[in-house]
Amino acid sequence: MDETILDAFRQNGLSRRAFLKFCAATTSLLALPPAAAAAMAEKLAGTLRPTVIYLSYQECTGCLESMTRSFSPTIEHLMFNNISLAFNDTLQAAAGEAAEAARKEAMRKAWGKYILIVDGAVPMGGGGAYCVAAGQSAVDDLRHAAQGAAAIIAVGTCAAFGGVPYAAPNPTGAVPVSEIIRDRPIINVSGCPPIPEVMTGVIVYYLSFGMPALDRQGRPVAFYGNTIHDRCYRRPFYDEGRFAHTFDDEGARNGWCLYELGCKGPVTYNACATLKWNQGTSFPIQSGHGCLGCSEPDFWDKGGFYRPLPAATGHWPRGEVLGGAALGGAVVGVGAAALARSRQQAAAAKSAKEVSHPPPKEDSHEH
Amino acid sequence: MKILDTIPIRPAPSPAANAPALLQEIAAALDALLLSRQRHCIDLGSLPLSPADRDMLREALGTGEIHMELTTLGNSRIEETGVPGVWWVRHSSEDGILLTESLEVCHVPEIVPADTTDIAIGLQRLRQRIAVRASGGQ
Ligand code: SF4
Ligand code: SF4
Repeated sequence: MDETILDAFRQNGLSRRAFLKFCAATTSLLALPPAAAAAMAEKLAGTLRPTVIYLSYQECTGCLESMTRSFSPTIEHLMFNNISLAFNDTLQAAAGEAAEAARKEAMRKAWGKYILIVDGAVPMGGGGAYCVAAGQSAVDDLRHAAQGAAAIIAVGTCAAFGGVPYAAPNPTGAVPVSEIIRDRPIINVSGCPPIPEVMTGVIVYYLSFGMPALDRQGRPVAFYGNTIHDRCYRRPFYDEGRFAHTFDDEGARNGWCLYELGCKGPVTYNACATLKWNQGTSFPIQSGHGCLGCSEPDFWDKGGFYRPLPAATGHWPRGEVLGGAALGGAVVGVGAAALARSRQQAAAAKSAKEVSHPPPKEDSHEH
Repeated sequence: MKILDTIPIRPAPSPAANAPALLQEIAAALDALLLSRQRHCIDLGSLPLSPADRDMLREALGTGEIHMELTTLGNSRIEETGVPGVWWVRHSSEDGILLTESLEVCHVPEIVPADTTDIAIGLQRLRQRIAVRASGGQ
């Protein structure tokens, strides 16, 4: 067990070159300066293999599906086979009591040091009865596991912000991890699901350099520092005021901006526009559909995926919705932004009446 | 599927913008390499490079004398450009997907020389084979 990560590479017949290649790929994924690859290599070479405990609660297993379909099987494979000793109900061969025993033993050995990955929201209603495994409720299980964790990674919008289970009317009283655990560092890796490379990248970053810089929603800035809109390749059309108005009009065929079709890109912080999905193939906007805003809190309850932004929200801080776009756009963009803004004011007035929603939690982003 | 081709999709506009600045950065890095043996690395994946940018880079740097292929965790190509000391490095995964692409300014990229521990492990294996042979085994 006292094996370093580099040792584990060598055990598997891999050379230091393979290790350096892994570090170069990960550094680039994390958008760190290339010089950080050497620092990462040095640190990981001397780091003991960590234990990773992966717990699933109120979730659909989509996040794990996403992770195991990482576009670089190399990285994901290394993550689970060489870098860490991982325990996960769904992936491991053992089942039932044997699985529980293996997990307990792993936790006991690495108590205080393991990385806890939590996937899914935690139901508090009915004394926690909506999610029980091996006689223990999710909330009790989480409280116990968190005590022995060095850090917690809340994977997916459900664990990070409550996600789908938390959506109104929230029948099970679901809450995000951060509402139960307050005395451990928590990294939120949101998305429905999150981009697989982001999940593995965050773990490697944590092992190499400790806690990453987080935004106000607890998400690593390296991946959630820009909006989809900041990096969207359709942005020039937004700035020119060219919008698709239906999914089959001329604008849609010409690949114009999807703002009017409900795109939530301007208020959604995620890396889809740069990292993309499915082996780097594409991302929703590239396939002609607006962003749903899946990496933001309450994305289900923001008034409809196909309603243009301002009308959809009611509680996004107004300056932020288009602030970046209006400032960043060229002169041609000013007209479009002004137009959007006036519409937004009208819509805000309208939705102020409509919103019958639980009050917003802390509102997002320093940007 | 020809009908698909008739749907006009406008490619995103791609003004060549970053290559000239990159070439300046490379020149400065070569200066630093000559003066103080300082290595430099530019991650091409982190920059928006249009096809025009790439063409300009390729053309200005040219093709050099060494092409290496590294085969661990998938293929990697390490090529010296026509400007000695500037290496074009591409790492791909086992299924051929590009993981990272960079320009390294150095005498030899760090990933090339054999590592001391790896040499020791190899030596151990070689000695075992010699011993097996000496004792008449295969
Ligand atoms: S509104 Fe959506 S489609 Fe339009 S530029 Fe922004 S992110 Fe892209
Ligand atoms: S484009 Fe938007 S909705 Fe789609 S995965 Fe990315 S953040 Fe989520």
